[in-house]
Amino acid sequence: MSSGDGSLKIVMPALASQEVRPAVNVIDANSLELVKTALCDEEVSVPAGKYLLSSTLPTGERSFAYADVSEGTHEEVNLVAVEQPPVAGPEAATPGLESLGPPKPVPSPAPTVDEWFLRFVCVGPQGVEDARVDTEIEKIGADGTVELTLRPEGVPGVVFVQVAAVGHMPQNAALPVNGMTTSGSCRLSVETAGHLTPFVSLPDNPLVDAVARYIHTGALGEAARLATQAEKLLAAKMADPYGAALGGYALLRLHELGRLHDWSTNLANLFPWLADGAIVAGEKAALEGDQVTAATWMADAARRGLPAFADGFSMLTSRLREYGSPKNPPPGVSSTLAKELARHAKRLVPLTTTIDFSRIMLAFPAADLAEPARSQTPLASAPARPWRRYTQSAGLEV
Amino acid sequence: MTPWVDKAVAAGASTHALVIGTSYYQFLPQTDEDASPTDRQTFGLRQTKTPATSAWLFANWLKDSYSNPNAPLGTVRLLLSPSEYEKQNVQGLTNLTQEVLPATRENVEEAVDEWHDAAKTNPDNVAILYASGHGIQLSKDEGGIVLLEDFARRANAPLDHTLDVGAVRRGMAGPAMAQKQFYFVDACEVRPKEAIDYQSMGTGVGLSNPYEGAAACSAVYYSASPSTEALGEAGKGTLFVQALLECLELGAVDDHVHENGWWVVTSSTLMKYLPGYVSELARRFNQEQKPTTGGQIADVIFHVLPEQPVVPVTLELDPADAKDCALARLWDGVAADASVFKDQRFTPTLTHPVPAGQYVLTVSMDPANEQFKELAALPIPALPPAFYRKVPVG
Repeated sequence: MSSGDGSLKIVMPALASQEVRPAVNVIDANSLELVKTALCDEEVSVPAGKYLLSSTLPTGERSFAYADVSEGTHEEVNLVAVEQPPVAGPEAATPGLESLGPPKPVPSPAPTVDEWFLRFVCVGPQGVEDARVDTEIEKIGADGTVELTLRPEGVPGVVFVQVAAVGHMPQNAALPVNGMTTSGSCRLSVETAGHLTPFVSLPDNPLVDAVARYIHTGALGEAARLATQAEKLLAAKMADPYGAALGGYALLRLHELGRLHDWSTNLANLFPWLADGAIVAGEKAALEGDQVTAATWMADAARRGLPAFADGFSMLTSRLREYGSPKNPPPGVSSTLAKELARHAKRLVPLTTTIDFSRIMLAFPAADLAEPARSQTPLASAPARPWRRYTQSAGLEV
Repeated sequence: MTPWVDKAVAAGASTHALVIGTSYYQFLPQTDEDASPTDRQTFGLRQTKTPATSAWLFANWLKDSYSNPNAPLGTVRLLLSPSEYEKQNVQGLTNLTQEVLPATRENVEEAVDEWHDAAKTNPDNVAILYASGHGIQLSKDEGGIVLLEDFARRANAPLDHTLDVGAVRRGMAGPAMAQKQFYFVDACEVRPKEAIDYQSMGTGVGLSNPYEGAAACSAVYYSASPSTEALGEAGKGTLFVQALLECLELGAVDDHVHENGWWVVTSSTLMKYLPGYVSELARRFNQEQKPTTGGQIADVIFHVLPEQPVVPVTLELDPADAKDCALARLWDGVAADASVFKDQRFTPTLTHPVPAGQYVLTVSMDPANEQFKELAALPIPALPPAFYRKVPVG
């Protein structure tokens, strides 16, 4: 601490885990200029004075506080989420909004889907295989939403959950865990009102969960900062590759290619079953203008199956569309590789129109994960094993 | 084509914008009662009333309000195909000047080429593309395909007459190209199953790909993910453009002063706050719309506010019963004789716009009583876009 300085420590008592340390802007209260960006729980030295503290929490909520730091003293400040004003309800009558798309039939009141089916599928370099996942129902909400804890076995690929009801299009969502990684379980919520919709979260891994939440709320800088912690874990080979991939995507979006250094290729090589690692490595090369390396990694990624994250699918299909032109391949890319990329593009690019890119995990409708774009067909009848049947009265069949 | 705005800019970097809005489609049914054509694929689409309004609003914001001292506005190329409704009901769209061309493939192709060349004159330039109309979202990184006025002119290749934002974006590369690029794609995806085969349906307007990497900032703000619709209000434009303009005025202003004392909206703050504003607008209509952001989003300045932002501060008494005796004073905490306001009553809320800054709230009770406590100094960090807190006097 230099002369004229005091020290400041910002704590966030509401944070679920000490692993998650959001960044806090320390702003001079008079000039309103940014003095520095500190991490939560980090003790920083600042000139004596008055400060406004501003931070974005992983939930997307903003938090503010005020600090008065005197020379030679230590100030500790609690930062809590800003209270939200009461939210007004929607307009009583919906005025004539138009949709920039085709007209849709007026939806009928959504009944709860009483009987539905669930199975797990591993998508990896070996193709598509059934996967074993320990499944436990945690809660059934008043609206019919079913919450389950999932513990997948260790398999060389991304595990997808597939939920379907007779007459409905099967819905798929990638799981951010695998029995071979440090995080063993995740939470699945299946909404049953109207249409079956699976949502995945990761409460048992607060660091990766926080990175995902930051990305979801558009706070990429915060996500990348947290992901640096994931990078250190990866270097020690203790990491959760899903967290590392998420961090990689955040750094790519921020165009902070220098901070990726060897991280991307390490991830791709250490986890050869995870398409996301190859996508991060390929996208980094593409942004650097190295199209041959990029095309090679993207082909590798497509061979690995499907990525776990929507961001990865977006980057992969964009590059497949760009490179997969056998008649006019990028400079240095062989026609053989371009032809392979074109084959992958034909399989995967059409799926983009069905993806919800506002979600973190890759989620899409499809009956067959080997040919997702070409299997946009509803479930015709009750399926046999390994599908498991769920009913409100009997729960999930063993 | 002659730019709609063509400002003489002193030597140095400048901003070049291309704004396209298509509400009128030549080959779609002219009225809602007409059946879809049977001789070409049109995905069941109908005429619209808001994309040209939205593009017009954004273009006017660029002309009148956009400020970036590092790259002042140089040119705006504007292509609009308004609907009959918009021509009759939206101010300015009745008699467009000759610089505003219809958003057909031929005109858009020429405009894209000229915009590309203008942006490539200086790597410190800023390039802005805003496109509104029916569309197909491909991925967060592509920006999607926006249908132009003559969409489906070719029965066997309906997507020839579209703007391929991804192909345009890939062509905006190279060391001489503007390194700060912003793409606003205000369109709804075409959801029918037929769209899955879009790759065989033609090739939209794009640019040749130099395969030279990407600009550090090449952000794509897309109005709606495929799971939700892009919505619009006739006469007011799409919800996306309404939210975007709100964000540029205050909603996405960063929480602190930047270089030269500037209050700014950046690529990152837009990514953080724009989706929330769009979703909130949709929620007010009991609808759902979920925007997405893709591409590269290095944090760069998009817009500099003309002056210190004015932040609405909302204070709510807790408990509300204290409203009959609580008096509020907002001041800077230093000068005892100066106040932003003094002796103001709560109802039990009190909202007051104040220049961004740090304030102190003092609450006194008149008449004094033992039921409620007075507050000597409650910090009020009034940072953009708004501040709200409960005032505990119980």
